[in-house]
Amino acid sequence: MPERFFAETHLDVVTENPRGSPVRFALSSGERLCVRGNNGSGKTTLLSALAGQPSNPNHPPMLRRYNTRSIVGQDSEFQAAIHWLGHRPGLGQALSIAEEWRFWYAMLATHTPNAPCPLAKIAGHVELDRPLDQAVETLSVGEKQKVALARLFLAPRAIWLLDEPDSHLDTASRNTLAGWMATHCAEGGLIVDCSHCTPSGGTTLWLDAKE
Amino acid sequence: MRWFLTLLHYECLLVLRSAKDIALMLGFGLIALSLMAITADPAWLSAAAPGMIWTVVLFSVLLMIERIFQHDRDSGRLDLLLSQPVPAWIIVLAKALGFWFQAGLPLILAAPMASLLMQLPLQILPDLLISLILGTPTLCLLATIGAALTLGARQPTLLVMVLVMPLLIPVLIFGALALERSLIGYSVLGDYLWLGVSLCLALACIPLGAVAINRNTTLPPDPN
Repeated sequence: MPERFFAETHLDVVTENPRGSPVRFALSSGERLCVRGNNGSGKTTLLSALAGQPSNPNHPPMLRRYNTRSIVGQDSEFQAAIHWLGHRPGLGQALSIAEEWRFWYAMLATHTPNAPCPLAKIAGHVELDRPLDQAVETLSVGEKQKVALARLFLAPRAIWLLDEPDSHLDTASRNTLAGWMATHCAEGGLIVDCSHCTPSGGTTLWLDAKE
Repeated sequence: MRWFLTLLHYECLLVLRSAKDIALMLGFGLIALSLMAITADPAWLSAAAPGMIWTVVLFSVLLMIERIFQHDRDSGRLDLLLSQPVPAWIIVLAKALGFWFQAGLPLILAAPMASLLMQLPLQILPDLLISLILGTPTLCLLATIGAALTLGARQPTLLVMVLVMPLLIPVLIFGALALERSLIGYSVLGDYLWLGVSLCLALACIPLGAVAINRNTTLPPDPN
């Protein structure tokens, strides 16, 4: 059992769901919520709104409570506590794997990092077997997803918001991903993810599409 | 500051890898100028050259507008950046500076060539360079803000042209005026000052761009 790395964290969310019944959930350190639902049931919308980015401005307001703070819109303290992996990997144009990771290593750090980005360690961690100076554009879709997933390990963040993190991954990598999630929860982090596969743990929230 | 430098480093990497786009822009500019030089009456050429050079500079910059935010927006990178506690104005400023490296700086470096094409006397080259150095940042900054405002539009270039062209006209006028005055041997300090004023005003527009890139990410006010 790894030591609890993150301080006790709570997240309460109440929101309208334009496509179905209202959504309400509360999570604490070590818990994982898997949002499931049919295509178009609002999973991505829910996660991006949770990350402070509703995909359209008319989206009903989402009330979030992070620890003891109520958050509306963007809040720098909350933004600095989350890793949001959207449904698009968000990889840079014409960058190599190493440049991509160095960029996010510097962007995500909460203070000036005094060590260079541990590229080899990250590559081993996400099981990416490619030369690190290879252009991201030339990788396969699954490998791009791994490059994007590596952001989770470039800076420790308590809250992971993962939008179909297992898409395009092979079976072995899916198992590895499930392992990361379990470790993250054990370390005191919390996860909200959405997936079409049966989750390996945590509670499930079904978003029902309106009839 | 660390955020700004990181973003700027990313922009510089992009500039280094977009040599093809820069070559296209410079090729467009130099071909346009040489066609004007060929077709124009030689007696009339050097008098018309300042206006021609600045017009071509303006269009070359506008050609590149689509590249400013397009990729970052389509790939989801902009959303990701905005999900971090990075102030949006830092993103806009880094983008604008990166865009200047991509569009402004190559044009300045190509200016001696342009002045040769237009048969301008060698002694006005310093004035051409100084006016470009003062004027192109304004063009690039306003173009970036225009691109931010039209983020998500299908064909942003035309929209940006209509949107920012009126704001760019003063830069065009003062830049061309500086060269004309320099040609007849007058002092151009006043035009430089006006170009500097334009730059300051353009800097003051940055929050507009910052609000624009944040627009889709702002929640409506809390009803309770």
